[in-house]
Amino acid sequence: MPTSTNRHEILVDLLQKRWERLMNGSADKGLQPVIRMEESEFAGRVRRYVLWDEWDGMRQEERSKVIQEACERVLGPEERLRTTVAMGLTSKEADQLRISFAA
Amino acid sequence: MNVRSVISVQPGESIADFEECALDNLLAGGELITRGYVRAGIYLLGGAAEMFLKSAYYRYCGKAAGDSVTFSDLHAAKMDAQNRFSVGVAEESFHSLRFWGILLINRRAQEARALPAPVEYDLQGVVDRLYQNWHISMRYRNISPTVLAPISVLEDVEWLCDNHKGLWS
Repeated sequence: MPTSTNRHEILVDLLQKRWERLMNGSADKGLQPVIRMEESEFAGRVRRYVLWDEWDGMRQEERSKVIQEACERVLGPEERLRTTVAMGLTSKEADQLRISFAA
Repeated sequence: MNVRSVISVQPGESIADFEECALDNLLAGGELITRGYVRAGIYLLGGAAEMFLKSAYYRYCGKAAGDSVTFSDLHAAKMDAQNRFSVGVAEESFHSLRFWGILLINRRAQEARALPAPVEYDLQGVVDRLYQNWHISMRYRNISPTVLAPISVLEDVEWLCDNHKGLWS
C-alpha cells in the first residue's frame, strides 16, 4: 500500500512521463491523464487542468502540487511560475463541472 | 433598531464596512474550514476576497474609510472597465474577483502607477485561483468536496489581506 508521500512521487513520475510523451507526439491522446492548458486573462499566464481518475481520494491542493511538480520537470521553472491554476479532476468531477477535455 | 432598519438608512456600504467584514469573514472562514465546514468556509473566504479587492480599487480611486460605495460607483467601475481599461471580462453582478483584479491592475498601469512587478504577478495568480475556486452561488449550491481547495483559498485570501494596503497606495 503506497504511503501518501510515495503516492505523490509516483503520480508526479507518471504525469511527467505522460506529459513528455504527449510533447514528443508518441502518446495515445485518448488515454488518461489528459492535460489541458488555457490562457489566463492575465497576459502571459496560463491555467492547467489534468483529467485523471487516479486523483480519486486525493485533496485538490495535493493534486495541484503534483501537476506543478510535473510541469516544472517537463517545461521548466518559468512555466511553473506562469501557471496560476493547476487543477486535477477525475472524469466524474469534470462531467459535474462541465469541463471539457475533448481535443 | 434591527438589521433591516440599519441597512435601509445607509446609502451603501462604506469602505470601512468592506474592510471590517472582509477581515471578519477571513477569520470566520478559516475557523469553519478548521472545523470541517469546508464549503461554508470557502464561501465566506471568497466574500472576503471580493471585499478586499473592491475596497482596494475604490481606495485607489480616492475614497476614504468612511465613504460609501453606492450603485453609481459600481456602475462607474463597469463603464470604466469597458471603455477605459480594457478589462474584457464580465463583472458578474460585481461579484467577479477576476473583474476587480484586472480592473485594479489595468487602471494602475494605464495611470502610470503600476503595481510593483512581483506584487502584480502574485496578485494575478491569487485572483485567477480564487476566481476558479469560489463562486457567489456557493451560498446555495452544494459542491463536491473533492473539487474544493480550502487551503489554497485561505492562503490566497490571506495574501490579499496582508498586501491590501500595497494594492491601493
